Amino acid sequence: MKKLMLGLTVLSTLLVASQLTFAQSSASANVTVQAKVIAALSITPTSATLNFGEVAQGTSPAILPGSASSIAFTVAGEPNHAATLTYNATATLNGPNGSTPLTFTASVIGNTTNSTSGAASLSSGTSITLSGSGNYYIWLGGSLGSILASQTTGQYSGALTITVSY
Amino acid sequence: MIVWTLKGLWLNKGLAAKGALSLLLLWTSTAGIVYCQTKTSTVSVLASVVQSISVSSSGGADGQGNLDFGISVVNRTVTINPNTSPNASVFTVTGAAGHSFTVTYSNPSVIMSDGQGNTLTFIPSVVGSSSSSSQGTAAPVSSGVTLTLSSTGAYYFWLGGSIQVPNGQQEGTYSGTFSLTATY
Repeated sequence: MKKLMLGLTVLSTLLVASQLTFAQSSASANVTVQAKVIAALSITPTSATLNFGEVAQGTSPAILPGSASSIAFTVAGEPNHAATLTYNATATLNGPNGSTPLTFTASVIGNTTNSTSGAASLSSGTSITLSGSGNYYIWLGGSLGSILASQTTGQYSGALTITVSY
Repeated sequence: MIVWTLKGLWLNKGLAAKGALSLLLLWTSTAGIVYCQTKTSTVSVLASVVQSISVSSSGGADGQGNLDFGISVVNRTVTINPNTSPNASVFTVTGAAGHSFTVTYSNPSVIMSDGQGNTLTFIPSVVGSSSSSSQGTAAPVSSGVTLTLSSTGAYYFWLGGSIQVPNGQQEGTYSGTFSLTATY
């Protein structure tokens, strides 16, 4: 910027000194400045909780993504745009004092239509493409592995984060 | 690419200086998105671990829960009353206190065989109660019903039943297997 200012000063000085006895030559070019504004991205869950309910010791409970107990997410954004999906592959569920935590392993499927039919399994880091109406549908389920016969009874809870970005 | 150029002045006389003042300002902008957006949703994952359910058998004439009708002659129906017989099999279910569970058992009959191709049919009769000392008043239980474990997480079933021994039945020792399952 400073350079520009100096340049202008010099030019004007020259003009004054020589009494404008010379022909002036100038040219200009026009350029376009552009930016594209796209729709804001959002991810909205149908429920804030993935609840396994009561699980007995010695069992291997699982919630199938797309089933009534799973959480459905609606992603909205720019039509036909790609986005990156990331989520914790596992989450730790902590229980009563002295208990061994449970490990939740996420299972995620997704589709451009709001139907689990044909939905693809999605690992974290996958690129998804929003539909022509700017949507993508994701279902989150998962499993708790094999619960030990000696697992301390009581309530266990944890949190899982799912992110979309572009 | 956005370019600003200042062209200099060529002076005819006086000033010998010939200068072209050029200022080149380059501003490249990518064709794609410069500003990224990330949206996050956090959900809770909950589970309530409860005691596993188990069933054990006891009672009966041998204390292991095996039901023994003893010796019978032909052309007779032998019966063990589940409410009154001290030889009735006992099934004890334990699990989470106050929890509901479903009981299923061999139904409607159990085939008993002598190993020689001869069979008898055992018709089970099951009664149940949440109290271990209530055999006498325990109510009949159909296979497939849902019941509730006691406040100490228990339920008790007594097994009796009957065998109709037809005329002409081959002598021998007949045995079969009765199974009771509790699920939640």
